[in-house]
Amino acid sequence: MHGNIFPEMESGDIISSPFFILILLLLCVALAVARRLFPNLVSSSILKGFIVASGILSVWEILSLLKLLSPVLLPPPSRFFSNIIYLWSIGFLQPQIGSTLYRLFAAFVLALLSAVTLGILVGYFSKRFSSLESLINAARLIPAPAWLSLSILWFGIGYASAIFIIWLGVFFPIFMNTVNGVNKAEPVQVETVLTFGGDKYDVLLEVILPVAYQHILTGARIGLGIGWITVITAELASVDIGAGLGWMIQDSRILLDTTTVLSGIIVVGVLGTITDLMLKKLDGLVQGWS
Amino acid sequence: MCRDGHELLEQTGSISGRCTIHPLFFIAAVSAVLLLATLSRYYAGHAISGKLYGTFVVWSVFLLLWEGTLYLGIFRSMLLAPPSVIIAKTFYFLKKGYLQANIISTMSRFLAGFSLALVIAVPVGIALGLFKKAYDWLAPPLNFMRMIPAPAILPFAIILFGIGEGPAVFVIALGCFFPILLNTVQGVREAERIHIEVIQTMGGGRADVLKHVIIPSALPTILTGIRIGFGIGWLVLVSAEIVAADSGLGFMIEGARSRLETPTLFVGMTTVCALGLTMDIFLKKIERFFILRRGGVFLSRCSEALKKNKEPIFMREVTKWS
Repeated sequence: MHGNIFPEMESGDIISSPFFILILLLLCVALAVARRLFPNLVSSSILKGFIVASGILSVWEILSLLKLLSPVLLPPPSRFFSNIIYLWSIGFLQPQIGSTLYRLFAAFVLALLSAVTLGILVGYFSKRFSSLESLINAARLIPAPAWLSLSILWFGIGYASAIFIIWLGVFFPIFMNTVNGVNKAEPVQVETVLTFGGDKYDVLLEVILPVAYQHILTGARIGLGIGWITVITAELASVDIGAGLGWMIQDSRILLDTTTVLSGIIVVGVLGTITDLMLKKLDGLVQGWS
Repeated sequence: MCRDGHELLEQTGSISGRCTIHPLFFIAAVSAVLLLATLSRYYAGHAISGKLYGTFVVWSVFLLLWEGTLYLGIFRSMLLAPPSVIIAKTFYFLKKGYLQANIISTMSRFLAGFSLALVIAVPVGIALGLFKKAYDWLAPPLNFMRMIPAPAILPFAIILFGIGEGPAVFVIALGCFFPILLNTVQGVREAERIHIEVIQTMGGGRADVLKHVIIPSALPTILTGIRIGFGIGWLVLVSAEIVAADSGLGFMIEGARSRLETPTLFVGMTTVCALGLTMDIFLKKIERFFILRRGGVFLSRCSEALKKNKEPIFMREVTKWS
């Protein structure tokens, strides 16, 4: 689609190969200098990782320059990085990122709310709910992508069916971890609160939630990973034609536009890393606050 | 090997062959089982525990509601197949060999990807765990690659390997790879310094340290990684089969959807669930076997951890490593 709209513009022209290697080198040097000047800001793992990544990308670039790699199957990194800039500049990339993130976040927030609420309920009254365990286990063991076809049947093509299966994928890790976390609350602490005249709400707020919180966060991080797998699957299976990074990757694959395929993969990886870091930061924030 | 078993079915007989279990018969059977369980609970309380009885009740009520609402026409049967039809369909597919063909192709694909990941991830993980410097350098790029969801690689794998088994196996292997690798590194690094030093004091070489300390002490963590890897790989398998395959359970589900054959879709989902459950139990058994076999001080610690750790697959992940 994008290839058809702007056939005359060569996205590979934005960054040339020598320039690309030069940029990588300069960034490595800049990071090394920054590490010397502000050791707190730039950790050594960032620097090391960046150096290794630039090394791999440079070798790839040079191999492509020497024509040892097929430009159709494995385009040089300079090409797909400039393609990202190009797709961004024509305003094609932003709506794809937007609709992927919209699906993921809508489902994630829904899953977080429902799973934590139900998880606390089931965990608190876990004796009464113990007979439900096998039913929940059976539902949990059907992988979220397997629901995709049924979800399309129920909700039709569009946002709703994607959000439903992402919700399913994210729900179970958070739910199981919440139940687990609530069960880990110490009976002694619960009894202490009750002895000092607290009621059930005090127990929930003062004992159970702080204990369960760590588990909920672990569940949220696992759920986010599964959510990413599910959202990309839904988009690859064309749950909504014309929107989403998964659709962009699949569509470019059909057009044999490997450059855009790789650009999409890189963008997904970057977004996945950012969302994971955000959850991690949230963890630190709440821990510091409490 | 029957590629599209569905065509075969259409040749041999009607795919929408008549349901052989009458809804009322199904309802009566489930009610009878429920009644039997209740009677034995009340008149021979020791024969059936409270929890088992509760499970019986929950499943019976669930199945009765599902079957009953559809029989009474409260939900449209096009969107939700009743359990009696699903059971009849399953037997029909088993008789025709359609289900077996799909199970075999799904399982062979999965086992190929899973064992590929296992064979690469465990040795690489042990090496990275042993050489801390190398891991420090490689961890950030590996972290980044771990965050790319495996299905996103699928179109690229199709370009690289062509349409066929290659891309699916590659993507499944990729999905299993990172949990196994990172857990192996973690396990190797957690080997007790003292145990290593004991072996060295006794005059053992590097091979002895590896054989007698590092691998045995890393084994539980590696097995946990394998179980998490299995969970992710199972997810990716279904996703790969729905998107790009011409056989297997995911393909069966997606095909049933496009033909609006809701019962077949449900048969596929139930089979996926049953296979996942079987393999999860199998892996748990292996985990237990290896941990119990090691004996000694670790025995009590590990078996206790196993008893406490009732979390199912997907639940346990080493979050410390990053």
